[in-house]
Amino acid sequence: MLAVARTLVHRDLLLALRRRSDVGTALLFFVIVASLFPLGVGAEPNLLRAISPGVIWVAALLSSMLSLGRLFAADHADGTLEQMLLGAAPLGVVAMAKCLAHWLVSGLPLVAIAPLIALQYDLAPGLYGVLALSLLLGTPVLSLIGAIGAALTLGLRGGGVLLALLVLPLYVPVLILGAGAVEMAGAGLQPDGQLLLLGALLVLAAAFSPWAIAAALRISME
Amino acid sequence: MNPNSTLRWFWFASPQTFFPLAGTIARWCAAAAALLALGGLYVGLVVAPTDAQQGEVYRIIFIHVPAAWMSMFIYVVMAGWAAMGLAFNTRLSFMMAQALAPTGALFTFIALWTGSLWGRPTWGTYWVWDARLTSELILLFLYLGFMALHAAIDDPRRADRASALLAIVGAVNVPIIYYSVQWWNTLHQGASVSITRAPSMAATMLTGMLLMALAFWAYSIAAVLVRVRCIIRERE
Amino acid sequence: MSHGFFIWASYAVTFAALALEIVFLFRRSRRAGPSRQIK
Repeated sequence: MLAVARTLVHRDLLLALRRRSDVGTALLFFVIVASLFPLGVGAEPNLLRAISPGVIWVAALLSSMLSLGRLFAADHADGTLEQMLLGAAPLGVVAMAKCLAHWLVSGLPLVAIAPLIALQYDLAPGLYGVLALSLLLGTPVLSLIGAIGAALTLGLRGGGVLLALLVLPLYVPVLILGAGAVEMAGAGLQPDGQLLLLGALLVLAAAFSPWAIAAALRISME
Repeated sequence: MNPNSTLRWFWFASPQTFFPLAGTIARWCAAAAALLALGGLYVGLVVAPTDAQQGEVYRIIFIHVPAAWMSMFIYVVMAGWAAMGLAFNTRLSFMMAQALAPTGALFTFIALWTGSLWGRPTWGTYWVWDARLTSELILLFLYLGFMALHAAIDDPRRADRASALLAIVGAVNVPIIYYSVQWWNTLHQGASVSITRAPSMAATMLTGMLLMALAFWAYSIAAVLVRVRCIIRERE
Repeated sequence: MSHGFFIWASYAVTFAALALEIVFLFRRSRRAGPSRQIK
């Protein structure tokens, strides 16, 4: 089972490497969205410093959501997904492996890029650690929950926007906890509570979403 | 469980047999709703005293709180029918879930509308990022997502099952969403009194709210059963 | 905008919305065909 998972992750990473532009555009989107806000609200440093955790987190949400379409679409188009459904490996393991690969390529880079955005917003340097940690814990949850939506909207016309409508309400707790952690730290308080809750969400998502993703894939493919 | 009683459980799972039963229940509930609403409105608008702090405006509570209760209750029931449909593969369960969504969304809208209008005279703005209102807004998105997913899928079986799974995922998330919004609200608004909590609950106020809640409940049953009859006719 | 306006607006829109739902339901009912015995 572990060998299957490793093969799948390896395969997805290889495929993502070959389509580097797909991956790059989602990350570029993250940067662009974060750059839009100052253009909209004005460049006053205090305001930007205050809104930066929220803006970075919202940008992460949107970027993660955009990249979800890629999760199953390619495999669905060339029939590989059907093979996976019929195959011997448990569908939950397949789902987990794909989510892991997706996160490595679309979520983890956000954790690395976020401090640069924080620099643009003049966020206090001491908060970079909390920001990165909150994103590190939160982005996998976004991948896992988003994958459920991606599986449900497989092959539908207007799928991308519909996926957004379905998945964004479910993202709200992650957003609140993630941005909240950074704001707590910014106010001089301990962000431990929020970070621990984020961790709890990650554990819950890792435990239950593979089941939901597998069920959704079966529903969409039969 | 002997075979006879198992048959009895699933007797009404067939749309054909459920159809006339739904009609009968709907008629009775419609009548009950009208009576309960009259009673509730009488207690709420005539009997209940003027509030010391908010004056007459607090009377919006007799609609706002029951509507909010119904919006959450209907979502849970909807998710319940969805789970039953996925577990037992009964067509009627999926039809019930589909029938519940519009009524649930409507009550969510009513809760948001009345909450907004309550906020204007008491807090000065039409929208307050109050914990309950924000949760209701997200609940509205969940309802709309459910209906949108079903509408986007052509194959009726896939549509039923996909939206059912979405409803269950949503239901599991609702408590998490509610508590995170609660926490977010206390962080940003401090310990200020929630606009949706009426200060001291006189007994008459509680009675009025309860009567209106029961009225909305009876109304929902009637509306949903009429709608499920339409769905049965459309599909069979 | 007296306080009475807000109360009236709340109750009026609520009952109008409920009435609209009933109207839509009956239109849908009529479109689905008369209530004949389902096979």
